[in-house]
Amino acid sequence: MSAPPFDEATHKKDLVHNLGYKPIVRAFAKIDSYSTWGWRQIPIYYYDREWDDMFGWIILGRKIDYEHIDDNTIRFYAPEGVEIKVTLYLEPRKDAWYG
Amino acid sequence: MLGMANKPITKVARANHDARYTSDVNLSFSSEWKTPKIFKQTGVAQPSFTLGYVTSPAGVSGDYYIDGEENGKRAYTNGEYWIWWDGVDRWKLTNTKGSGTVIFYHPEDAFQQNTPYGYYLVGTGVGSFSGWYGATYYTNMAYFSRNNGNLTWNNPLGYIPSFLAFRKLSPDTPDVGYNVFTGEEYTYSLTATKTDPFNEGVTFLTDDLTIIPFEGDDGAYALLFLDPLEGTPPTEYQLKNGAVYLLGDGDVEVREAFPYDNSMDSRFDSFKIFKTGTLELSLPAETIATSAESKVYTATVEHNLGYPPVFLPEATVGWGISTFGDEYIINDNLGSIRSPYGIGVDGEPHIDVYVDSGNLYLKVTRPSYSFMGREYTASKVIMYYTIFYNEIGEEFDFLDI
Repeated sequence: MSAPPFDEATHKKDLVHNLGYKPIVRAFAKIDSYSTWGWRQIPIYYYDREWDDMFGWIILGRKIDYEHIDDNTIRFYAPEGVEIKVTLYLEPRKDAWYG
Repeated sequence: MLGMANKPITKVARANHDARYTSDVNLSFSSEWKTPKIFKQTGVAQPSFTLGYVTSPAGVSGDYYIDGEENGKRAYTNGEYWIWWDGVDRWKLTNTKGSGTVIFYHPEDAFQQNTPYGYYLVGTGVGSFSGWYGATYYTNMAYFSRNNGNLTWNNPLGYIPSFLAFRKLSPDTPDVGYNVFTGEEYTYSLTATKTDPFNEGVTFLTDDLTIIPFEGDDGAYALLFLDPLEGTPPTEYQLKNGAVYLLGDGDVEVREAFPYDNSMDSRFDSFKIFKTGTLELSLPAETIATSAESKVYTATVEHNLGYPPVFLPEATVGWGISTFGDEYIINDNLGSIRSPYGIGVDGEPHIDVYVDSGNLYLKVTRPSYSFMGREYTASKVIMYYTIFYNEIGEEFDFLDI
């Protein structure tokens, strides 16, 4: 049996930083599934399971990730109730450090 | 209590900027920021392998270690017996590397594997018997598995700290579609590129750190920060050693504050920038012939530090990208890292970012289709990199000072 597909995250949360550019993101999520648990750096893909009255235990593919939706906001996607811890680093771009 | 308005602020500007007027991105330091405080680096440096499930001959079981090559692939020995590639279609287990009487051999699909992991069958058929429906059973079978010597670090902090994680790649590292790694390359450890991690990688499964190298890798390393992921750092910290440089953040007494609360604290390591720049790949519009080998485009920057340095952005190998568009900036898409849906013919294009003791690499792989020519549009792939003096794999612990 092949692995199940990874579901689109059911919940999202915006982090507005208003830096005017896309900073370096270091983010972790606390995961508690049958196959993966503890604090994990994101993005992450993992398997979870749920009880279904008709089929019994069913395996679900989960993912937690994020995107810069513009220069001021980062959007995080995750299943409901997942705790995410984020650290942002200043990242000067083309006109600053980078040659 | 002093108000925040009276808080003394120290700012240091980069060259050609005035710290009083310039924006934050042009400062090299501000006491209003917390600098990263790395208190520990540790990891798993050497992989080992276990051969089990064997009843005879005596001495063939146990731990095997890499020892040279045979016919272009790594060879393994437990000091008495050898597992080696015959250059044709078998991983063989004998008492002499490259020759000798075969005790076990890997089954028929061995030619597809760069590694000898999996089940071995008796080479001569001795020890097998036929059961129901003509199935053959083996009374003596070997199983060769990786045993990376997983590491647990007992965390004395009282809270769970933040971390960075790295992989040491190897010729056995799967999922990039070509054999480019020699065992001296490093990249970020992100389980986003593992569809079934089962706790491989670096994590705090409990209050303690656990390191389990990815299957196929030669090792894994963690770099630990004082920043808390869960729990609260202590409010006081007794300074154990003098001759340090401390810079407070506001009204905190720097010598009593927990180091995390200081802006700068020389008792701990921080990130030290060695070099920054831009790597750019101009991918042409092209059609790759049916079932042709993947085309690999590479951009490198030399650092010649003589050791693998920590770098940014936090990219990794085996990063699937369905389409790059006209321009794809690595730094802006790190939140979407995932594994490709396939490697090689009919697979997905992917990015590999890794470092060794001489260079930082950015690679893009474009696979073909098996049923028609595969068309690609022109794309520019850009990576704004920072290489630090910090060494991946260095071992230290600054907690007890």
